[in-house]
Amino acid sequence: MAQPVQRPPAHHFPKAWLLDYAAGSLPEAPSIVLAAHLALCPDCRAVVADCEAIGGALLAGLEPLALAPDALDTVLARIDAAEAAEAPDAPDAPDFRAAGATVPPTLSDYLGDDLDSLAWQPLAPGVDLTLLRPRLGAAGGSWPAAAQVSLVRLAPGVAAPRHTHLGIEATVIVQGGFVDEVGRYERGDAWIVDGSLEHQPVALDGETCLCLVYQDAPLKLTG
Amino acid sequence: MLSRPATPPGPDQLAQLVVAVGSTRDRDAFAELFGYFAPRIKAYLVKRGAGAAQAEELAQEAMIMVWRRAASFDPAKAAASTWIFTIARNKRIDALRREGRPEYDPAEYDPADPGLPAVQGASEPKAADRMVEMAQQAEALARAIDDLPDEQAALVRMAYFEDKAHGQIAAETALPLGTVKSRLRLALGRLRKSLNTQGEI
Repeated sequence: MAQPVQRPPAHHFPKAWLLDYAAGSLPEAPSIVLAAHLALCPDCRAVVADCEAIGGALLAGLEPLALAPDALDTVLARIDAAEAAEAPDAPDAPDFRAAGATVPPTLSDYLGDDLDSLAWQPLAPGVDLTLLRPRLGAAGGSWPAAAQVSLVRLAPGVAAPRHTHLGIEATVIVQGGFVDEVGRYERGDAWIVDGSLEHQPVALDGETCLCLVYQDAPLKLTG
Repeated sequence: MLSRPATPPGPDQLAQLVVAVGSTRDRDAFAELFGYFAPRIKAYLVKRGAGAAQAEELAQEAMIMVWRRAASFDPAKAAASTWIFTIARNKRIDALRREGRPEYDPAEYDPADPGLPAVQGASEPKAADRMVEMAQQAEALARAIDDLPDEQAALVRMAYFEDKAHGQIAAETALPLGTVKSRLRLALGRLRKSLNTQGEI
């Protein structure tokens, strides 16, 4: 097993993640963090759109596999039956912005709409976190066993404990921002390290910093 | 006379068929789309590990989704094959992994959000031009896939048609992980170039 290489963190997700996401092959845990980034990053969205176009071209190029001879009739009958029984449209879900909540829509399935009602675990003064769970249990097998997705909250101006990473960590800043030894990261930015990078994020002044964090291995406090 | 299938519809015709289904609930157009896409969706699902019966059922469900969502298809933004690929992909993820994947939904983000870069509006080309461009892109992309070196094409197909992380692909192809990643990156670069040079000519 090769030693992880220390690299500076990236502002965008690796192309390989975007390709896997578009291909439908990225597991649920990293997909949560990537989807939050996509909502805020037109550049990565453009890559995903191109990768979906590649998927479309590959689909069109597949050798067709015949369906049952009556498949079209079956489908049309199912469409008719569903339309005859059509219930009135369900009311739209409440607008997260109108409600004044800060949970991005891609996350509300995991976190609900009220951040204050979540089970926050204190980590250090001014720093707490809440863990996200797979929505349908780990039965799908696509939530890597050691992986963890958490929402981390830093009070304005607060320094997080100094720590290093034992594996991949992908962070998306959902609100506010932080600075560390390497750079400054704001809403929508992705912060990804592969291997051991020791750092100490400090939340920007004026606003609570909310980070969505994916880790494929635990982090290690160093000071 | 032998009844032979007509020439398969091109990307522009496929887009028009989806638009016809969306705007006028055109059943003949739907039947044509079904004839083209349903057997390809079934082939896709079988490649990705579904059994024959499940692939048949999911292909039918995906086509029902095509009927229901056709009005939301925008031929200026994507090729019909791209749009239908995402439907088939999501159908498979929902059903096979029994997992709702977090999906970025463009309707849910706020274009006025100051955190987002501005979107240029004034110089947007006309929708009809964009639709032609999308069809040309789909054709250019298909050619670019055909032109990929074999070892790159094989890895791209594995990424889309087999449920494997890059590490597993590396193990199976007996290639170092770095080689798998760099070949995929090269292939992705070539294919994206074929998409993005269109319309600049």
